[in-house]
Amino acid sequence: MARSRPLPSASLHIVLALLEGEKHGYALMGDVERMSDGAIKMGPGTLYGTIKRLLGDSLIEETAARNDAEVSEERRRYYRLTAKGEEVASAELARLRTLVRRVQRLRTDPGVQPA
Amino acid sequence: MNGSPPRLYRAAMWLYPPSFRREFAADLEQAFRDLRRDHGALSAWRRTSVDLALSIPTEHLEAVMARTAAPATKLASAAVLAAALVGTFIFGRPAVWLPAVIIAAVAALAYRHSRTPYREAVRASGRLWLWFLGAGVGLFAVLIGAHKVHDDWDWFPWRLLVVSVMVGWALIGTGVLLAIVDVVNRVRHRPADA
Repeated sequence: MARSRPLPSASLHIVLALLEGEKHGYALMGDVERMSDGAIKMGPGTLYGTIKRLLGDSLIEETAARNDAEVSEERRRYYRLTAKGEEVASAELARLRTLVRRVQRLRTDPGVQPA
Repeated sequence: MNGSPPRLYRAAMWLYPPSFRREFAADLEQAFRDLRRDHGALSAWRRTSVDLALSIPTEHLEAVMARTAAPATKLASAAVLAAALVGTFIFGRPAVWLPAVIIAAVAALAYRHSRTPYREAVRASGRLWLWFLGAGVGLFAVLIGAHKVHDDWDWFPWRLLVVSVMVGWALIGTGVLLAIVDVVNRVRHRPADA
């Protein structure tokens, strides 16, 4: 396991959004909002602060900058998960699945002790 | 709406630490433009003002924490520690300098096993020698200035004077050493056609 501590909320959502493939910053912002049903609305500072930390932890990497003709004429930086990032994303998904399963078991049978 | 530059947001970006601004200023501005285009100015500003209030202190805190491990801090702490050690060793009693020696030994071991050893700190120091020389000369200038104003040293605690002089020499010595390293590095890495 690459990382034992759970990722902070913003990092977790960005890493999970990047499981679909490489994206630029603003696309990540929108995906995180959709993924969380509007519960997490990141601003530019939070987004790029989180991206900076994920780059520092080598969980994501920058791919070549390019023009996105659909959105604007400006060059955008794209990011994708590294191998370590994919490993962490899988571990986080497994952790969340386990958490949900245990909570569901507790709700259906309150006598069960959490493992 | 999309055409005019987001001047106010650009001004607010100056509140971020310089390192963060250098790396992400264009991206931040682009994201703000996109927000404004897709959600309107009011909604974009509502989201962005909360974001600025939260992310600016966070980035400053991270920058301060990162700075503590910077080469300059390591070298400066080494110079001051060395001066304090020499000072206490010459003028202090065993009860004073023995704990200092133990603390210095533990600090040396910790630095030896840290991720950025002194060798790399020195290599990464670049023009840092100017700061050390400046700090040392500045310290002596302050001491001489104080002497001129008061005419004699009696008012000045002599132990503090001794430590100040030692720190001044340590800073100047470190500056000279770093300057030599810088010159050697420049000569060794000079392009062949230069």
